[in-house]
Amino acid sequence: MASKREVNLIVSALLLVSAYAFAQPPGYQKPDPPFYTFDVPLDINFNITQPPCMSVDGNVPAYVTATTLANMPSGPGAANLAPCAAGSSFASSGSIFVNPPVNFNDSGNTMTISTTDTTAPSYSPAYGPNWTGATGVTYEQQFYAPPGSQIALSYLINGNGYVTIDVVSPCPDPPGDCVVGSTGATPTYGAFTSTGLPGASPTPIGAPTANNAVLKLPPFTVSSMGTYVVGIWVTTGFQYPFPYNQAPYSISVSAGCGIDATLGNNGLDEITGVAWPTLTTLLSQSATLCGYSGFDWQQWITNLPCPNPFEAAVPGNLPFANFCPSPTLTPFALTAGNSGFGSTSAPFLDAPQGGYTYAIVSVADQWDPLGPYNPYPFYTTAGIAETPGALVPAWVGDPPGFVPHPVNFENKMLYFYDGPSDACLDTAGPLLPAAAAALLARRALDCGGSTSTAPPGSYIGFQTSLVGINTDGSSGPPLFTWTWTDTFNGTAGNISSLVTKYPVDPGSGVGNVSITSINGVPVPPIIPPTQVSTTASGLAYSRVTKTFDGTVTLTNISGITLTTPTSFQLVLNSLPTGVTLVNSMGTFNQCPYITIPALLSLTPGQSVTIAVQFSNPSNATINFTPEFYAGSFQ
Amino acid sequence: MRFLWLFCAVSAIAGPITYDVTVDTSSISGTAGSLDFNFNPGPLVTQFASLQILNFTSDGALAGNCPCGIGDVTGQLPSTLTFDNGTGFNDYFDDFTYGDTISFAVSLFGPALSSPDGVSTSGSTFAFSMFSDPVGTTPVLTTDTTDGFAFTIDVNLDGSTTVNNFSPETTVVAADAAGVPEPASFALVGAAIASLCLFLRRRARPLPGDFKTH
Repeated sequence: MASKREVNLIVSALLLVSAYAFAQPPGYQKPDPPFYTFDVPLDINFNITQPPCMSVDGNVPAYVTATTLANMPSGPGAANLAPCAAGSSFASSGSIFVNPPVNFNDSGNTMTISTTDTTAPSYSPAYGPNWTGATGVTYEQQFYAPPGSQIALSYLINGNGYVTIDVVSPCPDPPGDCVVGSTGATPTYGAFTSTGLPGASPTPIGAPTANNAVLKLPPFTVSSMGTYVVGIWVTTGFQYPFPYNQAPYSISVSAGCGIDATLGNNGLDEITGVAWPTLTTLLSQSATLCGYSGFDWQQWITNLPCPNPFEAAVPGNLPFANFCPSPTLTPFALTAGNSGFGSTSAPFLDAPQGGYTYAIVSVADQWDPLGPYNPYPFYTTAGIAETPGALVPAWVGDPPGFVPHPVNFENKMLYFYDGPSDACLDTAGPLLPAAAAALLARRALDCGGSTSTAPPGSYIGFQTSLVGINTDGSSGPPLFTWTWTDTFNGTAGNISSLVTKYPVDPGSGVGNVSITSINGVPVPPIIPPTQVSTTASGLAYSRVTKTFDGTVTLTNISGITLTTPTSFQLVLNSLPTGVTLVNSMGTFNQCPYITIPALLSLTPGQSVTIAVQFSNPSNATINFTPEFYAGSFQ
Repeated sequence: MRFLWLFCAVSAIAGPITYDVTVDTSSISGTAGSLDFNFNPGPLVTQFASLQILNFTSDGALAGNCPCGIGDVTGQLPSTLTFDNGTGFNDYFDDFTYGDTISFAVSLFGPALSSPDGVSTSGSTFAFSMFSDPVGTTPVLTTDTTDGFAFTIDVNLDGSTTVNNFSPETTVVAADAAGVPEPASFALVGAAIASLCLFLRRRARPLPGDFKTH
């Protein structure tokens, strides 16, 4: 028999759903929407007493705000939801689930991410002062979604007790325009017990322990832009109040398809990425959770100037517009975006269907026959990306050296690597005489003449996504997307290449990779290490703060003044596991960063020194890859 | 002749940089506290360096509840401690009942000091702290209330060292200051020795003009 508390929970949630279910316009046809997933680890150990609000005029980037409430509004209280009013408060209906009321006083914790952003915000507020004895807490996540968004949420709940997830819309502008998430007939989407299994009896079986339970909400589509609310209601029995048998005392909530990614080597001449499961142990488990057979990368060439040496093995698979216009020096070369010769064309997949003429499989394997390497529609052949330890096949003319496996042997990491090179790019920069001569020779072969180049300032543009592999072999929607450019004009394996698996040849050219956006959020320009040097002091250990403290000095080693419209940022990429930057001012690309205060320019030779403070409980050797950006992170 | 070149090479290696440290602990005499020494690399590419704590003397009492070292640390006070920066955390921590004074020498040496490679991007740092409790949470005799350091010594990328002293009760002076040349002095001395070597080498064989005189 359901307890009074449970009855109240269900009735309240039904009222919430019914209040909004009929707001959907009659005759509404579900569009073919973009698909957004959230992968937002949330921590309800904090409170925002003044929930931040969001513009609903559609002119702001999509984002999410979060707040913890004393009680999940229910019944008539739900009508009081006003998330778009500055300083709004969320009325409590006087739930019996909190005894005493959960009353957090922390403030200032706001996450701002795009609806497509899977970057995990970090929170560090102290545990709420009045948790002791509480038997119910709620967490409310609000997000702004553009029209047509399809939202899918799955949550990992780690805690004891039961959980209920409601999706409602407070209908910001005008009332009635919003769509209730199609979350089914009952507002309860999962409950977990000490077994940790969703949907199990809400009655604890013995003393509950901290468990993980994955609760999935079916995808739903929103028809208008607005603010939508996901309420997560976690309760325990009175006999097991918070904190109970939890170490640490926390309930973490994450949402999304259970996979996240980060990027590396921005500003260098190669780019790397890595994706890993967040809700499960293995990639394959996460893929199953998301309904995929695996994960892969998908890359589009969004800009490729002419001339260039890249030709499709099966030209007929591409529109005429994707070939360099005549007259050019390489008439069969592919192009995208601005050709530099008066024409524009749509992006094409890298590699195009049928592959490139330069990448020919020399030794067939179970996934790739002899002939052009053809991973279409992915960047890596799907079978290889689904098989731990499988290698990209050998190509004709492969140089000896590193051969990557896109998925590691442990089935926990999916790697991305690219080091595009195009000798026809006219990137300015110093080269040793021998390398300069080699570049001219390469241009004679690749560009139609030793003096032929793409217009000065040209670049190759890319859009790369982490995607799921559908069971029919097609590509699922993007789960993590970034855009980037490359200006490197040397070689990789002594040839120009797009899809590649080998590092660029050192000193063979100039230019670098530059990430321009991650999940739709613009990335400020990176200042490559050829322009800024980074040095550091030793790290003294303080027993008072239990931190390793030192300084990092950045010096402009270029011949020009470096400027920023807002501020410079130092990102500490690739910190060892367990090492955290205590004085971080936020995270970018999963990495902590420090904003350099009151500095808008750095003249040649000028240095700036900033303090760094690391927490390193395991006493590991601390190291990182510095990245220096001229602009703020949104 | 071969011996002469060997002499020149050895001469190019600088000796250790040593600081004499004296702490007036009379204001906390009798306090059962603790001492901490650590010498760690930086977070980027760090050249190898070593450090010794020498001649530790005090009228206070070391507890000797050792092993006290973590990482690349050998020895036990009051005998010589030897650190190097090969691991991320190289620390020596021991309970200590304060008397009126503590004194010891800090000697830094190794390639990072004698022959900076010019490509490393991190230095190393030595830190000394005193605490009024055995677990090392309450720093004393320092104005650095945040981190609790009494003083630190940075090994810089050019082989020089920088002392930051936060303790009015502590003096940190270069041992035989006149004998601790600045990097520029090293360069001058090196140039002079090289010139001398070239001169002697030239003198050791006949000059073309000498043949002409015969």
